[in-house]
Amino acid sequence: MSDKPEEFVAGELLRALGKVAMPEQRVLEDAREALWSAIAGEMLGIGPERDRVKRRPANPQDRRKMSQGGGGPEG
Amino acid sequence: MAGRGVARSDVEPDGVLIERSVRGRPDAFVEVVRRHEVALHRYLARRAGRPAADDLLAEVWLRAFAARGGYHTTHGDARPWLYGIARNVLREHWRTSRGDEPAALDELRIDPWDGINARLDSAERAKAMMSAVRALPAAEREVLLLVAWEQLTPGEAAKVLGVPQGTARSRLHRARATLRRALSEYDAEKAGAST
Repeated sequence: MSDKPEEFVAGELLRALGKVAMPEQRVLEDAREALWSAIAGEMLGIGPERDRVKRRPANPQDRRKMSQGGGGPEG
Repeated sequence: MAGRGVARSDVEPDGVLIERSVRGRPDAFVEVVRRHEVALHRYLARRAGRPAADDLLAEVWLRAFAARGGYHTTHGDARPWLYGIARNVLREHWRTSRGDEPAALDELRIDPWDGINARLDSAERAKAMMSAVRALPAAEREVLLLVAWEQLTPGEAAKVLGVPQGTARSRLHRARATLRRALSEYDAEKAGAST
């Protein structure tokens, strides 16, 4: 925050409160995999990715079902 | 500093990669993702919890990829743009799940209570700080946490939020003052209770 001792303590405490663990590698890879699908779609000229994204369910659980074969916009 | 490696002269800026991804090499976008994926996941995890972050990260990349044509490629560092997209994803998540950010902050599984104790103060003090953070007006809290947790400059935070720099700076100033006051009051209360 600044060099004032009380501000330093408040800033350090706040930063410490924001500590979170590293994401699992698998999670990062899964997210990249979804991106690669979009990239492949664009390279193959399969419809605008934007439309597909808009139709993705907002609920993460529904998205997971969809990615696990629960039926997606492409079939 | 993590996430700022793109400033090295031998590394292509994010803006160049994004421009390339628009001009026939969409795969160039993956390098941008690799650079910022840990930081973006942490941002999502701090605001919505780790399980939700795991689910939402792909959504951020898909939206960013779909929107990359509108990226101002003279901006070398894509982080403010990516955080802006992640913020929109979070808002939709809060809308469809818990309701708002303070509720999500309640859910934060902050592991380092013991670590903080050793170096700084009691867990109660940390809780008092977190309580003060939650009580901040949303606009002030957003700037504060983008700067304190995501290591963005006030100018970058302004870009994320789509507000003028001066607005972001004054919100940051007010938020910091509020937290200092809350911490002082907590300390005074504690000192009074122990005498």
